[in-house]
Amino acid sequence: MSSLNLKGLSKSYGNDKILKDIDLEINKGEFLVLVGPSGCGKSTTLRLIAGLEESTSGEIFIDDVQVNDIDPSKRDIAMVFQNYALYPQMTVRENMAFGLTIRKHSKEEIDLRVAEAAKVLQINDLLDRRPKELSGGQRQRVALGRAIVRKPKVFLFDEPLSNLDAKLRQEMRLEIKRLHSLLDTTMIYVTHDQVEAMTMGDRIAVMNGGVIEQIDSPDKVYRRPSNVFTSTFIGTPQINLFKGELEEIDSSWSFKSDNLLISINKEHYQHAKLKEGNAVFGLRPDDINDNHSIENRESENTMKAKIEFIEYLGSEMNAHLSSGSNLFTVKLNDRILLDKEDSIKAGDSVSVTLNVNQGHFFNSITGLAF
Amino acid sequence: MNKKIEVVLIFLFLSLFCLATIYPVLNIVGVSLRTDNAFQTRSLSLFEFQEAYTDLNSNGSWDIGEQYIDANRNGRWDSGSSINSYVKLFLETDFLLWTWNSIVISFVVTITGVVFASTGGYALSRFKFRGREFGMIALLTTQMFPATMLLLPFFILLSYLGLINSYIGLIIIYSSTALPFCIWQMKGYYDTIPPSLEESARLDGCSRYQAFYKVILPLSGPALVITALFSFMASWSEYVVAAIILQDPKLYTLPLGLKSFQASLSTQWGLYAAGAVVVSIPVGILFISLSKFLVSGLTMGSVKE
Repeated sequence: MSSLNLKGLSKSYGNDKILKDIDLEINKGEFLVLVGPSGCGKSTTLRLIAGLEESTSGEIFIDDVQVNDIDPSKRDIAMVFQNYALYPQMTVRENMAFGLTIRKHSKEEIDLRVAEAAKVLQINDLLDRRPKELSGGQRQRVALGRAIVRKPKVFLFDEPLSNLDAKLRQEMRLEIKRLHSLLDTTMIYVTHDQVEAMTMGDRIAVMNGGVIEQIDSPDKVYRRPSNVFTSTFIGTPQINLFKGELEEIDSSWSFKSDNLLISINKEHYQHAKLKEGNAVFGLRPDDINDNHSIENRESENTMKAKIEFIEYLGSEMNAHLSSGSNLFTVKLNDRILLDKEDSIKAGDSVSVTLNVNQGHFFNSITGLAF
Repeated sequence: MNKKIEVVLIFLFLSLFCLATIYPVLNIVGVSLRTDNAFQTRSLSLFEFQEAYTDLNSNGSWDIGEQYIDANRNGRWDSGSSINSYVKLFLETDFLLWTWNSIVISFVVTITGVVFASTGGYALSRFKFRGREFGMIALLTTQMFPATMLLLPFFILLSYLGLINSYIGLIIIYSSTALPFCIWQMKGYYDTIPPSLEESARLDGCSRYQAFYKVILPLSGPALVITALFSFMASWSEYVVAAIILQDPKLYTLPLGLKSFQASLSTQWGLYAAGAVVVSIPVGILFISLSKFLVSGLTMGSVKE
């Protein structure tokens, strides 16, 4: 179990800056998820930590030892690749033993450790097969096994589940989390899937364009996004954004966006730092209530909107609404079970209430939260 | 019904081609089993009776004017089959010496080809370095010139180096002409192996070199076989360059040796044919035993996993 520290890490290919001055501290035993859209630099960060690529500038520390110039073979790091990268000519057993054989462990110890890992991952029956005789999920287990037999200081995962189908992905997500609590080691996990990030990480680092936008617990990233990008990247359906203007009127703030007028309680902690001027208001679909089923106590922050189209997902129903120039999404889950005469369809009009206190105001130029 | 006709036609077509390919080979085998001057006989029978003759000038063959008994009364002397040519080939000529020369040269060229193509192709596939693109185009360009066009520069170069009439000179030329193709084809094969395999090996504790020979090389069997076969063939059956470089009959390779049976006035066709058959045996064995790899090797790279 080791800690990891990145200081001012940068990477460029020619004039292309992939990583811009990244600072990141990962604690012992932590499960950190690097999440972001493709090309944001998350995989590059992982490859720099592994030593598969050289940084343009900056330092990498493992347990306070600078490892920039240490060969990947000597860093004591294990990595699980997206395509598993199992050695096709070796059996599962040989694949798992390879790292230990290279490091010249005794045969007894290798056998013991392989058996141990195989038991943990329930792949005892597969030990004498070759990778091509395994299914995707089994290959992924072997790749995990190959990593854990070595008992490395740090585990790196590079989108390990993206080649699996949805059901298997969910299964392996739990499996990896189980391994983390069992082995109690430092793990860094790269993914573009925000669901994986939210469900697996102790902390999430949201990356975009070569920088870390926010690093926090999943809960905080969701509830207190530090900027527009983070708020839109985490959460499905995506957060609703309204562009408008903030104005201070006596004891409260007012936000005007086309025909939408919101009044905000000044006292609320979320809104203590607001400033007058252009702003972006973000409100998650969960925080917009359908007045049809909930008795509307507040008469303010209520609006009428037209249904553009409906996405029906079984347990959820997302309606895309429009009001003036504003387009936004709400969940109309309560309407799913209603009778046919009562059911809603595109073109209907609904009345909704915005739960403004759960919303976020961002500076319209910098994108940062107030 | 149409399907059946189609199948019959296809088989007819293929059989014709097989005949066209096999006929010359059978012919050579036939000639090698006859005595020298009977090589134009039409008889395909291999074990025919031998008519007796009196060999007045003791040249081992029947010449006009010499006495013979026309046993089957067909108006000419028939020899029947004999393995005389083979016996003579091994006992009375330098055939074994030429074979040895060819084996030594082909073996060294093959090893050189495999070593340099496997490592050179790897470098071109995995590393980005200055001159990489240029180097690859340059390698390809050398393949555009026929070997005969390069004879003069080769000869001049080797005479400067004092390597005329030596194995080393010949090995250098054979290797350098076979290598560009081999390097390209190894590079093409490595390109189909995901780099994450070596990366994984390196994190598992391998040095770059270990990752290459413990993980990548064992996966490259088909490509290595083709490289080896190509290098071997390039030197085993080569004639033109060898004829220029090697002048001492003691250094002759098999193709040169065979050609020496062809004198200005008479050619010992029996010996020539027997030699040709023996020379092609190892090549045949190689191709048949490696055909499994050849098929997978020639189609490799077409599908990326």
